[in-house]
Amino acid sequence: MSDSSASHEVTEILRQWGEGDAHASDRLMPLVYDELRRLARSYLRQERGGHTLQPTALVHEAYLRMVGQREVDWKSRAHFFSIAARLMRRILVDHARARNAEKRGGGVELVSLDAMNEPSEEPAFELVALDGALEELAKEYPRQSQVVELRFFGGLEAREIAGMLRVSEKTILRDWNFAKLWLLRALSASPTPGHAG
Amino acid sequence: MPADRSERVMDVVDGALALPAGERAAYLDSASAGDAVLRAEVESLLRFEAAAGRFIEQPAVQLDAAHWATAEAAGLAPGAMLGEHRIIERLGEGGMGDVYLAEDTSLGRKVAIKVLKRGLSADGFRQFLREERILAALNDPHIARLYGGAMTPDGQPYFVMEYVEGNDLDEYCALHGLDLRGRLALFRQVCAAVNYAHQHLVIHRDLKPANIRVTPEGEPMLLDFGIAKLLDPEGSGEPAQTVTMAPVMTPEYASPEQLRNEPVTTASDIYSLGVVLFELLTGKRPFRVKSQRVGDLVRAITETEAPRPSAVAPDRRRELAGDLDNIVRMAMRLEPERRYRSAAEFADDIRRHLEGLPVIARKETAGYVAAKFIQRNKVGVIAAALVALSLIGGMIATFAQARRAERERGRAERRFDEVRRLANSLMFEIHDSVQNLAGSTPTRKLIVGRSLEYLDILAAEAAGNEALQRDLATAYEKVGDIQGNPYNPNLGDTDGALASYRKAEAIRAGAPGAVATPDAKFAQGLSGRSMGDILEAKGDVAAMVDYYRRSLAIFEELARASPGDEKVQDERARANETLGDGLSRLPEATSERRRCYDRLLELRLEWLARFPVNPRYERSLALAYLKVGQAAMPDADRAVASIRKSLGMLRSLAERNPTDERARRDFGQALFSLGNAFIEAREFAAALETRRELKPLRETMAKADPTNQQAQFDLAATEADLAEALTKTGQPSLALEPGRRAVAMLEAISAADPSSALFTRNLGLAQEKMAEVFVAFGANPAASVSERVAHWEEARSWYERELHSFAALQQRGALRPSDADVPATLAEKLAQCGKAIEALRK
Repeated sequence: MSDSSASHEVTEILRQWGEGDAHASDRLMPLVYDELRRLARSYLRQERGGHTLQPTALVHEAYLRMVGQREVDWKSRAHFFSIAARLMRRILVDHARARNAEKRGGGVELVSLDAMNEPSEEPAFELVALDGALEELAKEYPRQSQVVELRFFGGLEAREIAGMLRVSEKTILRDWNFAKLWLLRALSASPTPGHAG
Repeated sequence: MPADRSERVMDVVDGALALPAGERAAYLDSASAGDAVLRAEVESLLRFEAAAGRFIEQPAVQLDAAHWATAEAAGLAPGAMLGEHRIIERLGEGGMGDVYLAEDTSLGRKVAIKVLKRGLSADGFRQFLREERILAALNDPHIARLYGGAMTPDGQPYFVMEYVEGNDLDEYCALHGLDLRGRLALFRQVCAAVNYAHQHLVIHRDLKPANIRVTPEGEPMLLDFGIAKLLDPEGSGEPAQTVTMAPVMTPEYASPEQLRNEPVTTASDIYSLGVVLFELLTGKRPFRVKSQRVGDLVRAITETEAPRPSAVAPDRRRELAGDLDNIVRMAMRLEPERRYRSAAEFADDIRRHLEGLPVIARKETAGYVAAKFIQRNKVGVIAAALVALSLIGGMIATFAQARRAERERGRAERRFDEVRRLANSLMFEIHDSVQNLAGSTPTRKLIVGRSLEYLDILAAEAAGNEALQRDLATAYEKVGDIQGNPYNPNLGDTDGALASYRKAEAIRAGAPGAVATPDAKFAQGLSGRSMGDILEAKGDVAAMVDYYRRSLAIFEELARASPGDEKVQDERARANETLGDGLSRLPEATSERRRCYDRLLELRLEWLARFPVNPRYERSLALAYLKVGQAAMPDADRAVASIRKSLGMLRSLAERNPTDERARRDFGQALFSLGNAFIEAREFAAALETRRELKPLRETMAKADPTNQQAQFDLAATEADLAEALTKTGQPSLALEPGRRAVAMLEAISAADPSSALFTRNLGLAQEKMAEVFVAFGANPAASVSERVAHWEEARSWYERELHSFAALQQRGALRPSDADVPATLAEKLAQCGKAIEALRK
């Protein structure tokens, strides 16, 4: 499928979704998933090849390729991004899981937080564990969990997320800072009263 | 944690982060206002402030493979490093290998490391880890997390697991002197965790007290979930290692099928749980053999039913005999398919026992014992069924010939009886005995098909024989039940079921002699109801109502003939009720529906007058008032009057029977309906009062059984109703809290079961109630313009969410006819919000 026809199809699906077709999301997902996987793969390849890339939100790239300059309303745009961020999460976590299992007989592999710089004192964490913690977070703090999904996995800016969720940017930053504490606690040792039950 | 609590935690954390370290203690003192739990929660989060700096600030996609930390392996003396883990001490030696306590140096947490000592190649281990990625995803507070696995430098596989402090289950019970109830409660939690894993398709395979640790807080934690698969030749892809197998698998707790090396299913864990419970109750293991040979033990487990717990613990005999004997033995049945179907069902049966309700587990029936020999072997069963079928076929042929020749009439009659007996045996015994066997559907279909064939032949031959005709009609009904009665495990063949029911009906109608007897009529009335039930499941409302009407006519006729027959009168009342309930699906039949309920009420009143002290009739009468009230809508005054009567009686029943769960549920139902009627009557203050009374009731029930989805749903609906009543009485700011709770609960409930139209619809309604709260805020002229605009915007976003919920229903074709105009109404409300915002902005 050429980009332009894919782009047309995605725009059309978003339009149907905007008109209340709840199944539109089901049709959208595989298209976006394929596109994101393709982008992610080429991205990771380039990086391993030694290229230094600007921080990039793949979901933006996917959006530009699949919707482009076509007219869609803010709700459809937000819907696209929330689906794309969810799928990015799945792709990256699946990827991490697969590597966990393949490398050195399946040892637990830890992502250094500050991957591009010198080794630092900042905590390292495992993507798969983070994914689980995020799921936990969603039980009590659904919006905060979504903010992390959109920002960390989707690569979106706080300003964009504020526009999508129809709340102020300040609220998003507040959600973000809170979620970081919560997730770090969940990733560290013992269960706490907050999520032990 | 309730939503408002979460909100509070966030607020306080946010406030603290904004302050310099020196001012925080004072701030926390005042912000937590003596709420120590809140304060502890906030402080435990603030502890990570320093670490949070650049944590996840870089998008996930930039984390590169080159930076995966390397796990260098080393020796295992204290202080030694295994990857990122520093060995602290050796905890002990399990069946599978050594267990160490270690510290994860990167996360600063304690972990348990289990180094497998033998029996596994690197390839086998890798394959296991690939297959069992799901193990790492098991995330239940009562299951110790598996963080991962790797190889030591000298090629020994090891697992890294959550470290759990505490005692093994049996030790814990002994140390803390837990009584029977305490032990059962603890065990139910274990079942819940096992059930969670089963739902994620993970089988433990080695459940035993040593794998169930209880923390000092009394929380059970399951260890080593799914790891035993490594020792299973079928699972690990390794050649069978019979030498190491037996000692490792802890045969005392293994299921018969595990010991026979047959496929292991969730039912194997149920068996092991049964053994654990046996030991918890009696202090003894179920099977003991005098010899030390493992083979003897294996033989005992695979060939004998477990003893009754009460028989081995004479001092506790009175507590154990009955329910608990039956429960343990049900879990430990030799045949996997006859055990509890799930750990949840197992736990639930224990709950029923604790609450004094009847349990599912029963002693073996005589019929079961007789049929047992064929159950051991599916092939055997099917063969037996086929032999029986061909036998019957042959006998029918002979019989028909003999009959036609009109010779040896006596012998023909005898044969006839044999055919009937065999036919009965085929359907009632053989069928029922294969019913629960996995993969028996083709056999069951064959049995039904053959049964129909010979029933058809017999029907042709049976003219004039009343008794036989009655038998035949009953047989067709039985076949119909097997084919498609929605209240039975059935073959899903509703068309076939209808045809069979119709044949039964035709035989009864075409055999005037048979029909004339009251018994036959009674059976006909019941079968009419079954037909209606099937048609309801098929969605054929018109035909369903038709059959309910016919069933009612029959019972009315019977009741006129024998006014003193209690059973007949009861069925007559029930027929009115069934028809009334069925008519609720036809909006145009409101008046007929009301007539049915009025009649029901009349009958119940009459009946109670005759038997004033029977609580069953008292309840029936109260429910009749309730239905009359519900059907009286939109005449709200009449509805309120009738429901109030019902409420009074149900309240008194619930008070007189404080342990009766159902009485409490009935009472709640009446409060619920009364609240709705008050809203309809625009008596909002009264509605608020009613709903305030209902809430603690629903809370208690939801807390009593957190796994009961219905109870959670009821509570959520009550919160939403409470929010509505608060808004309508001019207190929207009080409505926020229950409204938010309702939405959060319903979101969770519908996420767990997205196909349920009921859940989605109620989520939509709760969202509407939130929208109404903000409409009330937005309409408040005392607020500033910008605040009001924000409120209207919030209201609009809630209406949008509601629209989304109802649109989803519409997409699935699950929108109720009475809700058909909801999307249009919502569009209008959205437009109103827009207009209000526009007007304010000007």
